Amino acid sequence: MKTQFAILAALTAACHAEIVVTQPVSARDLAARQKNTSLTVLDQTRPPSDVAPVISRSAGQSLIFQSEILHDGHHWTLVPRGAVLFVPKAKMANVGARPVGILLPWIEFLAKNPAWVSTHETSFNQASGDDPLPPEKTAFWEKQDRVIIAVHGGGPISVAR
Amino acid sequence: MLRFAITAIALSLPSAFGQGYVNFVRQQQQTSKITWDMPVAPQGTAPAMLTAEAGGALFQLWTVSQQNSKDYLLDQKLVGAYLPKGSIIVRSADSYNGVPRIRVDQPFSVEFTVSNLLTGQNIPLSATTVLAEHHLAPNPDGKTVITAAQAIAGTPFSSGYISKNGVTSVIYPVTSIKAPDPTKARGEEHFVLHALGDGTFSQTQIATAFIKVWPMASGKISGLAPGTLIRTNPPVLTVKLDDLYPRSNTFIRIRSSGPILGNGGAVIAGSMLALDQELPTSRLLTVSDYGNLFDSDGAYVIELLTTTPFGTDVLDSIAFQVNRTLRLNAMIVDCETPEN
Repeated sequence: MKTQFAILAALTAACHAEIVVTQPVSARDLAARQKNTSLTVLDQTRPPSDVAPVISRSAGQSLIFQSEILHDGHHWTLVPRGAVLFVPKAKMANVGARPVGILLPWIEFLAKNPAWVSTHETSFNQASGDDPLPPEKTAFWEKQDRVIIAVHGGGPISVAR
Repeated sequence: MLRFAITAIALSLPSAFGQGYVNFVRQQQQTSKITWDMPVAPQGTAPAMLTAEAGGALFQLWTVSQQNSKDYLLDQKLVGAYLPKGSIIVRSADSYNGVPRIRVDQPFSVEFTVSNLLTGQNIPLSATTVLAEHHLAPNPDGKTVITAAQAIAGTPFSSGYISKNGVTSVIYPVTSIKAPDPTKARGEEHFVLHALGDGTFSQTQIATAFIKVWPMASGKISGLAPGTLIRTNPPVLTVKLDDLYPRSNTFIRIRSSGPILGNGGAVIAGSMLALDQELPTSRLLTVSDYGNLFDSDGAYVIELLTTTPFGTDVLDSIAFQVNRTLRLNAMIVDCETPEN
């Protein structure tokens, strides 16, 4: 409503105030002005270096391609590749498949599927592979039937193994 | 512990990404290659849990369509203890709160702010200089969603190096986006600051920003030929309006004919169209019953005007005459019937 009042006020003012009217720029004039637009006003000399700088651009990346998919038949989510620590045989079909159903954020997917998804709080050193995962945990996972996801501070994290 | 402001990125999201999309913020450590998905709200700030590495950390904001599972990289930043910091602000005369926007014929400026650049011997290249790039993303149909990743994937339109800390401003007199009719160009202009990587970083972007470019409006009044003499009721007018600027007031005004376009005159009731929205629009209006705006007989001009944050432009104008004085040419004839 406020916006409508503002527009109305501006319009009313436009109708009553002295208006400075201009003729629109022509296509030819506009094309001529475009010749002066460039970042070449900046330094064009590459800084001296033994190695040529590497500039990366983001073409062709895919979050889904770089992730593992989890799904329960109705919903799906994704976690970084390497975050899935253990998959029991009975749940193989729920991991790594194509996205099926409605995409949920990781936290919501976990809340809907506590019966077959669980987490393991993972330290930075464990994630980097500097420290091993606790052997008693990995041994326990073999004896249970949940998918185990590595998390750090609530977010799924890749683990180098 | 790094603290990463998600707010700045979230505010730059194209509005096309709202309901029906799920956002992910992914942090990738450049040295250890650890990847972590940050639990995030749609807007706000959250601490990055992983420690700062010498090689830096890449933060990427992704969104995934719930409808077709297509993912879009919306923005990314490379931060690190030994990397320069950068930010980019694009300014235009339109004070719109969303993504900056401009009309093709209007100037805008770009401010590159760089800090933490070092000088001296034996310092990594990444700490001494940044590369500024300018990418063009034409969008002729105006409907295609251009992601930041798509926009900056190709060869830049222009680029240059910045090796001093502080603000470097570049003024663009008009858009650089080309089109068969330059006045109808539309799209986005993206600006990127890259750290000069030596191959150890998987990504080098430290800052991005962009501005949306909209075409100039055009309009045509039909139903009244130039030089028409109006003697009775004025004709019904059809007004075709194309590419009206998202924030604009468009109206038709009648004024006495004169050499100066502009002041005075009267606005035709029902011709006013006020816009305050995200996208340009096109309309077809019908205008009638404006005969009461002629004070007297004489020469008039009908003008189609549009007022935007950049001023008021004449989209079309037609000169015509009004002569509604009823002139009776009569002769009195005394006619007598002879008496017989």
